[in-house]
Amino acid sequence: MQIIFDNVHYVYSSGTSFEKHALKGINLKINKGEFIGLIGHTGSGKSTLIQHMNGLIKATSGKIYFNGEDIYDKNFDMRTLRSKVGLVFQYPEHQLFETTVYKDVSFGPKNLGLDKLEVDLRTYEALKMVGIGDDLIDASPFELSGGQKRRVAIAGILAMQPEVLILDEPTAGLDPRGRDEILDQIAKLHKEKNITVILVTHSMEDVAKYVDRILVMNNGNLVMDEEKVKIFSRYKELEKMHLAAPQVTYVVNALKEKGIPVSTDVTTVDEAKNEILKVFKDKIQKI
Amino acid sequence: MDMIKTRDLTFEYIRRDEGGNVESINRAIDGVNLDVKKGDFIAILGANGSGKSTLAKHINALLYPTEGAVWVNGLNTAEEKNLLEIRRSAGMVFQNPDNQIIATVVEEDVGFGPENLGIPTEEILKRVEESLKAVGMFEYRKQSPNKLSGGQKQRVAIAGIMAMKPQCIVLDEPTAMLDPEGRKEVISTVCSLNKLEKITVLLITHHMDEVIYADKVFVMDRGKIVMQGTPREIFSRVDELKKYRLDVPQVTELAYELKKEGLDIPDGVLSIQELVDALLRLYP
Repeated sequence: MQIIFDNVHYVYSSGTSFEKHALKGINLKINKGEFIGLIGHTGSGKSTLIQHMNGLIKATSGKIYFNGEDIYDKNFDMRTLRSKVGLVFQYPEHQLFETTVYKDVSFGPKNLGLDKLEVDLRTYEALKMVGIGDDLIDASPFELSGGQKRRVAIAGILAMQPEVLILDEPTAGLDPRGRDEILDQIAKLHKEKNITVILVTHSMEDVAKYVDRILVMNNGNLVMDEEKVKIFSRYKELEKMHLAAPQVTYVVNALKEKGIPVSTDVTTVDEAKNEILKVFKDKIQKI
Repeated sequence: MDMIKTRDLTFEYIRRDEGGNVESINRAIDGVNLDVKKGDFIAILGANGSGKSTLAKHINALLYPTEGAVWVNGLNTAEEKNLLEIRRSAGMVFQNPDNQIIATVVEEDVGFGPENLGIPTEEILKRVEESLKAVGMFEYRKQSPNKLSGGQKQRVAIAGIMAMKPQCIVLDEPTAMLDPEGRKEVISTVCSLNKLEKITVLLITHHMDEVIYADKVFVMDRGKIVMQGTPREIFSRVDELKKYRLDVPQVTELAYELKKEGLDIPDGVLSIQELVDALLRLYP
């Protein structure tokens, strides 16, 4: 078990009129190498939850373990945790600040006190992982396109060589191709490096395409934690929580209601296509 | 008369060094001709950097053309005497609701615009009430905007624009930061303002499924308009859209894939219901 939450509560502005119980007794186990989606309406507690994972917020009560160690133990090294759990915030390109792409990405590893060679290696590797070519290494980050800037910002986190990568809405505001490029690269990284990935998003289509397991937050509670097909089969409950299922899930469910024998375990275009073709195979006209 | 008209609109971002010499020129809009009739619902699609937002900023005279001209309601945006009237008739809504809300109570926020126009108090109160009702947020009028969800905040921002009685609203990625329900709320609010209040709408978005309600869709690429048509016409051209870094709604893509496999399904399916109906017709 890489990350364990044991009855974690968090209360904002305790004792004031703004008091808010943002996390209400979260119990959660995350294994190394998982690809997890975290969904929930605005204000459901998603961001508060992920900020606990690298110690940016300290739980009001309850315990959190990272690789078996209690992160609130006085001997626990918080610095190590922050380098092992990389958190990419919303609009991470707003945090770019250096004069060149190279300097920006190498800022983190440099601060870890690594020698020049190691810093170089990590910087080049991280940029390669997000698909930024050598031609851009000396460019100013501010000259890049929106999608490129965001990838540079993600590279800055990857250069820390995290074991866990948490991304908060990494594709908000990107065009469809930019969205696919970033998510494809993260999926590749997850596969090749066996990094644990937690993807926070409002796009049900993205979650369906990439993750295995989904966590659903609602009003500070972790209300669902299952594999994605099971989560989206409960789309009526999701709608009550201001969420939804991918469009194709609605298509197969509507067909099923009309008595057509399709499986409703469908969350992506490919799955839907295969499932519908199985039932409609004798309707195919050869062109 | 056209609500918005542009002729050979060109805009260049010019970067200068410390000495004032031109370092580089980036042509963000390149000869765009646009005609938007009163009461139309227009959607603009395009990759990041294709010029959508730059175009939008010309419509309420936040930017002026480098070449060509823009008319809003017949008024040329390059003439300074028209500015107030243009900004009053074309309101803008941006991506992040938190950057657009300034007051501590919802109704005060909505009243801010008309107050600045020097409108009498009685009239302001009336407009605030009407606008909040039009976006379905009247029952929240006494609340703090901080307590609202993203979709609700964005509707308050839209009410703030409505209270200035615009003829046209330009929305630049208004749902990029919202959850699915918030997106639905904002889009259905925009649709009803268009249908019921006859407001001309110009919606810029990266969410393909929000475009299906528009009367007409424009696709931009590198500062030019490269495709235009009804949503059905545009979404029938799947391969062309992908070339411009765009996409189609998931259900449109599924229909397209099924058609490619030989099922008899019409082009440019836009909704879940249309695809289900098409499949049911095939099933005995």
